[in-house]
Amino acid sequence: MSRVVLLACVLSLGCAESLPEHVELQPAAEHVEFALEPPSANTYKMVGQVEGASTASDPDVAQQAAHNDLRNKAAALGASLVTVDQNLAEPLPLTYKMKVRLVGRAYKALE
Amino acid sequence: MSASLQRRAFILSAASALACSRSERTAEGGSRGPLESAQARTLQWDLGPQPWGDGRASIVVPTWGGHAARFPVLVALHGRGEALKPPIEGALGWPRDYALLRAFDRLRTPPLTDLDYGGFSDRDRMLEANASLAKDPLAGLIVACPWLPDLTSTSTRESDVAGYARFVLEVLLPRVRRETPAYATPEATGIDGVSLGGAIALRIGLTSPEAFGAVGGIQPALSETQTPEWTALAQAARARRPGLKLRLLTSHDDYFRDAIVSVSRAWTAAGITHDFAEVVGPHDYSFNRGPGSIELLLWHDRALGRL
Repeated sequence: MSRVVLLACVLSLGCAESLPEHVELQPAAEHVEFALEPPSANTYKMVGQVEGASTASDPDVAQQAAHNDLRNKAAALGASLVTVDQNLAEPLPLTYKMKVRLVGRAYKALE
Repeated sequence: MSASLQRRAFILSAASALACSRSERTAEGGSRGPLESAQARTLQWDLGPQPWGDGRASIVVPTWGGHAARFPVLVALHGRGEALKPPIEGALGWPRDYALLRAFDRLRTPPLTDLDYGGFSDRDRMLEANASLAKDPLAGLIVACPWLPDLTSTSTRESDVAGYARFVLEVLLPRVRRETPAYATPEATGIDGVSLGGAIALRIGLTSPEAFGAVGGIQPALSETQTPEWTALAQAARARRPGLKLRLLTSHDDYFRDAIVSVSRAWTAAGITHDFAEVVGPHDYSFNRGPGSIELLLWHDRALGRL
């Protein structure tokens, strides 16, 4: 194995270890809903871009945890709606784990 | 994702999409969602339970040309990351996670820049693409993106792929032809994919050449030990359809590069004419979101018939 590939594997493992496997949905995030498309500007204001991430052996667990992470981050911005603009799921080399990274936009309902 | 969360997300997505009409300004002052662009829209289809899992597909349809416009159809298969997602999420691989709609927009409004390739542009190849687009603008194609189950553990053998191929040929393509402005001839139908999807697309296309006019693989997950098998498959396909167009594409940092180069050389030695390209970039999402989507659309736009 070349040194470059070895280094890539080590870096991948390092990154994997820094991501959570289980992410609990915070009470404040229970009201944050998902949307595929941005909502109307008449009723919602975008409050920021958010990312959710997780790594787990079970792909469904990884997805669930990353979605919880995204909702928690959106809730922290005071949002009640979040889009998923990218769902990037990569099997990690030399592990039997899946890394999931979600990128979305958080929206707050207008008063 | 739990069933309840998935169901909840889907219901809310649909409600939100309905609430936000296409003519409305969006909350950040004009930017669109990931499934709609200035040049294309995305349909999401439930194709029912299949022997290998849930049939789901996203269908990207050009919005230009008016009611009389018709387009060729490309079946585009995603990589393994999407195969490990729930089908409803995995089917969004090409349109959302690989930025296919952005590629549509940029190919319709050239010139392409290094930014469009995500920083992975080959100057000469980009100049060639821009010259081609200046001479002949992108005519457009419908891209059918079905969810693909993870067939990696079964080595993508023909017997394992046969059930999925039947779904593509007997369920997906007939519905695309019924419900979208699609040409229905084999000459106007292509199949391609990336990584796992590239290998499966080659397998389906080369074993059913009567159904396709163009077959390709982008960074297909091939193994060098399979070179004789892929060569025999391509020879047989060409014998059954002499006009079948073929393309293999890899990149400098693609893990499957050596195997793809080996297959391409074997095809050339066997007299199987095909397009081959080795471009700049790695084997990951950043490639798919740049060169991957652009190369997919541009090659099939030129290769597929319009009849």
